[in-house]
Amino acid sequence: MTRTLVFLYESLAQLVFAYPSRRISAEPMPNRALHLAVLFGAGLQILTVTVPSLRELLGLEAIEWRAALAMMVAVLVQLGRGRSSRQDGVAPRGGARVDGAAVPQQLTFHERGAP
Amino acid sequence: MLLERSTLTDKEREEWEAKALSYAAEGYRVIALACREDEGDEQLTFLGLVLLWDPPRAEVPEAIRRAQDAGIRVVMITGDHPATAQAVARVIGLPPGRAMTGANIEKLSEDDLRVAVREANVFARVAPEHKLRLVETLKGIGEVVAVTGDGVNDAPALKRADVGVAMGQRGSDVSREVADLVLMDDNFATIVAAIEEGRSIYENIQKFIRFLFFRPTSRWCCWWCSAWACRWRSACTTSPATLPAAHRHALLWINFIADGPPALALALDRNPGVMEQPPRDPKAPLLDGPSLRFIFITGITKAAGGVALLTVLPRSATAWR
Repeated sequence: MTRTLVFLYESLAQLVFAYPSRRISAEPMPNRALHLAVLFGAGLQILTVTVPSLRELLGLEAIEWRAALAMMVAVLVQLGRGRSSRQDGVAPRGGARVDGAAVPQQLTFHERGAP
Repeated sequence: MLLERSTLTDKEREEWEAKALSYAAEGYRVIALACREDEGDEQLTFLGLVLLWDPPRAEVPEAIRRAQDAGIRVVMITGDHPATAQAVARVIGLPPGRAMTGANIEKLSEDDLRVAVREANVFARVAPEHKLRLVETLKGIGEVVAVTGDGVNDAPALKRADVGVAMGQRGSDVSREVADLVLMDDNFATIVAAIEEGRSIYENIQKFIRFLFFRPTSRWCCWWCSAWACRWRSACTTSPATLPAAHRHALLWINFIADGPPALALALDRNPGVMEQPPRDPKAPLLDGPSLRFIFITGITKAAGGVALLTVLPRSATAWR
């Protein structure tokens, strides 16, 4: 059962960590495809322990509800940590520089008469 | 110049010059017309002024504002009169600054020009060689320079710039040939949209890498901690502990189901904040410091959860049975 729960934890925690991976410069717009991918993955994870043939294929076994609860708590803790610690890996923000001394600027020469 | 060669009196000439300047200040291109019965270019009969209005596209001011928000400085280089250039700059929302002419550029030393190009946003009466010098000076002070142009005379500057952008519709074959990008709609706003798209793609690649790289870190930490715990337990007790081995199909399942679809979906992320950020350093690595921090912190946190389950579950499972 330990193997089954660790497998479920690994998969589900991996799925939920797709959300904190997105935070780089600012909060991105909602991504329906990502929600669907995560829900699809989570749904398949449930099937791995409920469908006997899948269970057998993956070398898993049926789990106790208390064990499943412990695993879910572990996943939710991970999700909560990922959502709360917004500063992990968020690039520092700054205003645009005018002198271009440290961070080179992009310059566009716009020729009058062109666009 | 034409007025000086006309038969106008000094007073009339001054009046027409003032008129021409006032029209230029309104953004018109002013052309003086004069004629002469026989050959020669002196003692011309002045006919009048022709005003040409070449309005910027409606979307240009907004595009320039967005470019400025994104830390991109837009500079206008034109062959027009400085007054016309400054008037157009005002219309499109270029920040008021010093306007320089080609003659000014010629007079300045390289060091002085380096200082001047930081302040000036409008360059008027500019010849192709001045454009090239401006591009080289800006590159010399560490700027990343993109140049737009459509004429044959723009080709050297387009070639020398970091990104040469030619006009697809009105552009000459030469300019299109030397440019890195060709705008199919000749629209400045498209450049800003392309910058936004490029930044968004770069950020999505970073997200993809973060998402896929933290898992090996997590697995490695989890495996190392568990192996160490088993060894310690075996040394301390008479009953040897073993790690539960994962089934090979289970590992493949995690790779395909938990990694694949979310990673692909991350490529579809829209990032509205990218145009509020300053440009990134061109030498910055794709896997930068914040990304590495994310990979390690998240990997270790996830591993801690796994280790906790491995520690708690065997005893609890026995009790639950």
